[in-house]
Amino acid sequence: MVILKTINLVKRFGGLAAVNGVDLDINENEILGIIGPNGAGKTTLVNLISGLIYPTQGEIVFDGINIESKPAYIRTKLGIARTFQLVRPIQGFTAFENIVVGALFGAKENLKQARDSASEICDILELKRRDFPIDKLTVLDLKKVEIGRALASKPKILFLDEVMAGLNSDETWQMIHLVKSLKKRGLTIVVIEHVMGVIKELTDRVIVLESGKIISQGLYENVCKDPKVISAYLGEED
Amino acid sequence: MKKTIFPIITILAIVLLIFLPYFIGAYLLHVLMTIFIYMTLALSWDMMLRTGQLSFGVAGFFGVGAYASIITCSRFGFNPLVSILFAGFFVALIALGLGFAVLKLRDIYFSITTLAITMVFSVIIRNIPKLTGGASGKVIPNVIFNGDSAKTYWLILSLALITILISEMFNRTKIHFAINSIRNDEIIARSSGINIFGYLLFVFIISSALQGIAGAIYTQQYGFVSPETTFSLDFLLLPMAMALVGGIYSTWGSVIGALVLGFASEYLKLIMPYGHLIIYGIMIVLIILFLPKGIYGTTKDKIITHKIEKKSLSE
Ligand SMILES: Nc1ncnc2c1ncn2[C@@H]1O[C@H](COP(=O)(O)OP(=O)(O)OP(=O)(O)O)[C@@H](O)[C@H]1O
Ligand SMILES: [Mg+2]
Repeated sequence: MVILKTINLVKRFGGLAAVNGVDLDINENEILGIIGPNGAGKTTLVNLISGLIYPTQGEIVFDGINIESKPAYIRTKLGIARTFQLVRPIQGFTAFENIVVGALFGAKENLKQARDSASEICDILELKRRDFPIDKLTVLDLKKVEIGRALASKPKILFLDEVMAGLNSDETWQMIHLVKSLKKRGLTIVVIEHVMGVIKELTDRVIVLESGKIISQGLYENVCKDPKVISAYLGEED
Repeated sequence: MKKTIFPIITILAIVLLIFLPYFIGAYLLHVLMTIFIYMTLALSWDMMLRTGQLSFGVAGFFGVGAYASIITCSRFGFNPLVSILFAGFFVALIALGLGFAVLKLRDIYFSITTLAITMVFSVIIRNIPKLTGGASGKVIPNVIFNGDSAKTYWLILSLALITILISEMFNRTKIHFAINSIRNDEIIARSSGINIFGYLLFVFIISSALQGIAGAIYTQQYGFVSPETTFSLDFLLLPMAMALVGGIYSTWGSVIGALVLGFASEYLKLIMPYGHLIIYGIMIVLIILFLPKGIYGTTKDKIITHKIEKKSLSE
């Protein structure tokens, strides 16, 4: 069953079409990978779906309702959560309090419920330094806080924008395990990654974006062999 | 232990404050009344600052509240207490209307606009002399409680205590998480499900209403309003200085700041009738320079850092 759908989605920044007519179907409980060279429009697509920017044209349908003109905070409450490519913890809050924020407003819980959910999420994430201020955390901790805040809003679909970037291989494996365990809990997950190993390991299906357009989609094995994909990536290298 | 001691101290302090008029003289009581009015303004200004919005509109809402109260008393025969409540509602309503425009602005644009609104209020009031007395102002025959200073003190004390209560509620409930997130990162706030405009409007209305009520009570005490004195920028600058000196983003910062600067200003006035403002200004600058987070904020930071260091060592 399709949980989220975009129809001819377009976003122009001045003359540049960062997302240029994307028709996307995301199935319930799948892990979808989105790959593509730098500047392909991956983050812009997530921004459009999560509501931080509005499309120039096109539709976004989530759970059967059109959401393209709904503000971001409503979409979060409806069940769309995302992390940020550059982690954005709320300064002045501890790791734990950052996660509480997601539970309070995204999941509309009261303070006590939110604290309980947050500590449950800390356990799932194996986040240890939960009472430390943000500036005393490691990169891995910060990524976990980012995911934790998104999870706390009790989403149906979760977008992970390059959460593995900056992690060593050990930490990357931890993350892969984590994402798989989230899928087992029933979540639909979209991962944006540059590391092909991660995409191969994690995803049920892959979409390749280039210059704002989907140039290929399907199983990882097949997409890799697609000449259009190969030339897009080779084109990036020179 | 700390959990039981704190409420006891609070209750003792409140009881002491209530019975104060029986122990201290009229002069000291008057000083305290002024301090509590400024404390209310400082706290309400800080409430808005906690959302990240630096408001320069304090004197404006203070002044409108003052005029609303005096006019309803003299023209429509309102009981002074009712007129004070009316002033609060009236200012809240104005804040609601203005909020839809100014709360879309950020940073310096928000600040300057709130300052401009203050000017606009005073210009409007100058230009409807039939209702407001125009540039020369308006006097009412009777001051509140016929000048009974103990009763006036209790009224002002109630306002200050209610403001402290609201401020603590803002700091201990869901609202705290919302406004802190908004101040730190609006993009994160939005994508965490926070209705930014809703929260800003709510805090703006509450803080403006408190400023309006403070203005109403303050002028009922003297029974006199005029554009120049009632919209004086002192009602913006002094509360700001108090919050900064005590420590922003907290209840006790503004409370401490108001007490310290309030008493210091009185004392300086006594020992040097001329030039006390210079010393006062230097004092404010020095405190802010050397304690950038204010008296309360800096002390609290030291304690927290100490605790974390202890925790890190034991880990
Ligand atoms: N707010 C904006 N204003 C103008 N141009 C923008 C804006 N956001 C993105 N762009 C442009 O849109 C294009 C797509 O950017 P986007 O961040 O979506 O790429 P990406 O696929 O996420 O790349 P990366 O892999 O580097 O993260 C880029 O050319 C970028 O410069
Ligand atoms: Mg990106």
